[in-house]
Amino acid sequence: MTARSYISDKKVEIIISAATCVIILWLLTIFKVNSVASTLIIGLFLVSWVSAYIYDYNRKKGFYKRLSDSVTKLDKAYLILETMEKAEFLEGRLLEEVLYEIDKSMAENVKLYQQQSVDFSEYIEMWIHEVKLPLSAISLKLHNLMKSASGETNEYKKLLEETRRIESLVNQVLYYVRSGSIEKDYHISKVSVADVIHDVAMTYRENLQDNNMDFLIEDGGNDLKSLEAKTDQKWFVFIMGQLISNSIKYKREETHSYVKVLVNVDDLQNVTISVEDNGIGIPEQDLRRVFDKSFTGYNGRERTKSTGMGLYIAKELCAKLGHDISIESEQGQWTRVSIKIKKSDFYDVV
Amino acid sequence: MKRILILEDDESIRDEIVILLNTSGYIAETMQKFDNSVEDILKASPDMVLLDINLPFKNGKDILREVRQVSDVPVIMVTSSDAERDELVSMGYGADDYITKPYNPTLLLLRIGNIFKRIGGSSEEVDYRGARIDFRRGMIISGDGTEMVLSKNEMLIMSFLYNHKGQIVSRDDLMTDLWNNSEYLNDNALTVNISRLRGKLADVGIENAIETRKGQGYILV
Repeated sequence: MTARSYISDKKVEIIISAATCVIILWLLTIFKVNSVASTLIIGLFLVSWVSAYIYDYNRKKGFYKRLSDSVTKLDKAYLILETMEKAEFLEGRLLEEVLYEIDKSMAENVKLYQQQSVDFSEYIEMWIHEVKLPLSAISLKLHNLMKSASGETNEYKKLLEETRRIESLVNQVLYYVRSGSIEKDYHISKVSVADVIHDVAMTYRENLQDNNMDFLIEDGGNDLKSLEAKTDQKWFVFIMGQLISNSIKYKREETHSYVKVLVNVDDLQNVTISVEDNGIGIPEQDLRRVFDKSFTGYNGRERTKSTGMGLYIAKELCAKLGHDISIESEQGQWTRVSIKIKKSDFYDVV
Repeated sequence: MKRILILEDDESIRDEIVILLNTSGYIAETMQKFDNSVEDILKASPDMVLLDINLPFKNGKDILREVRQVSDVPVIMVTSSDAERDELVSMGYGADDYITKPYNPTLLLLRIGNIFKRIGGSSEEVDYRGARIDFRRGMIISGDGTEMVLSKNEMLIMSFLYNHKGQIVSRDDLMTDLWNNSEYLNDNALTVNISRLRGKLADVGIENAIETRKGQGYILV
């Protein structure tokens, strides 16, 4: 609130006051009041009006300035009511009442959507567990058919591969829901690095072999069996799975492809697990955007399988777990995604 | 033959597990009703129980707890979510192993096989066609005392073939077993390892031990 805007707001009052002055002056002249007395009377009126406006301007200015300052300072502006001072004037009190009502109705509205979102997540989780039953039945059936078939099993293999693809897409939805959930549904504990690698290797074994890709481990001189990192094993296996699945998707045809898991422990006992491949790589201009939601980039356009969700979910999950995820690549050569699991003593207490 | 009792209320999955187990050298038994599971399990007295956690009437956890009070029968719990599994593991309900749906059928068979090996106190040395195989030291000792050292991968392959003697073992089965033992071989390496193993077996006088069945796999004779 500036003096100019205040004056322009009080335009009508000021015009009325000025008109009143003119009328009084005119009446005084008619009643032949002597000019000194008239000047005094008009002066008095003017002084009282002006001081009344100055007083009003000052108290409102202070109130509204503090109000707008705290709105900009608060990272959640809707909490303004909690920090607002009691107004000493009517308009301020009206504002307060209106804000209170708005707040209440907004909170109810938000709560409704929150509940809907929680209900939806719960339904999705339940649905995913349900859909895994027919998927289990299909993959068991195919396995049995393959075993009893005497000749060609390639057709069954194809079907199994597609079934695995559905499973992995379904899993992606599950973790997408989890990554956005307000509830903490992960459990951080000391996890053996060898176990994590084993789990993810077992999940992607067929997929890697069908694509004729090698799975290599570079332990960086560490004994992976005894090396532990603080993470949620299931979540971490899923995150690594997304990386490996990308390596398979974006392999280079003209060379013998591999996926390499590199393990590194730094001086501060932070464990970094990287997934490296010798695939098609990522163009430099796309590199800093690959973790963005729905970003598909050049490779995604070239190979239509991309949804732009895998790395986004991986990043969201890493953020929840407190891990740092980063990516390096050289187009046409290689890609390496690294996850740094910090040695935190925080969870030692738990 | 070992009898395995399956407690699974999803009919299609149950039918497939029956086929899977029956074609893998086990006798599969099933239960259609779950209103009296604990007694039915005890009455059937199987060699192993495959117990789904989500069953009508009484869930798998409670069944396991009650069975455990009177019986040490090996139990593999089948869970349909990671959360269930985590709970089971942390609560120590006394299951011998856990597997989460959807699972790789070969992996299920491996787990079953491993439990039977463990409780059967699987001998670390076996006789095979006049030679001794020492699984612990990774060695084949021929009849005349010649020792032949096997690499870890060759040993894993030999042990898997031996445990399925007379059955056809697919390359995929062997791969599952090797990877499950954290040996992440590729296809070529498997071929190389098998031919090396054949060579070593021949060197100690065991000729043509591993036969190739075209399009199906290998068989130890």
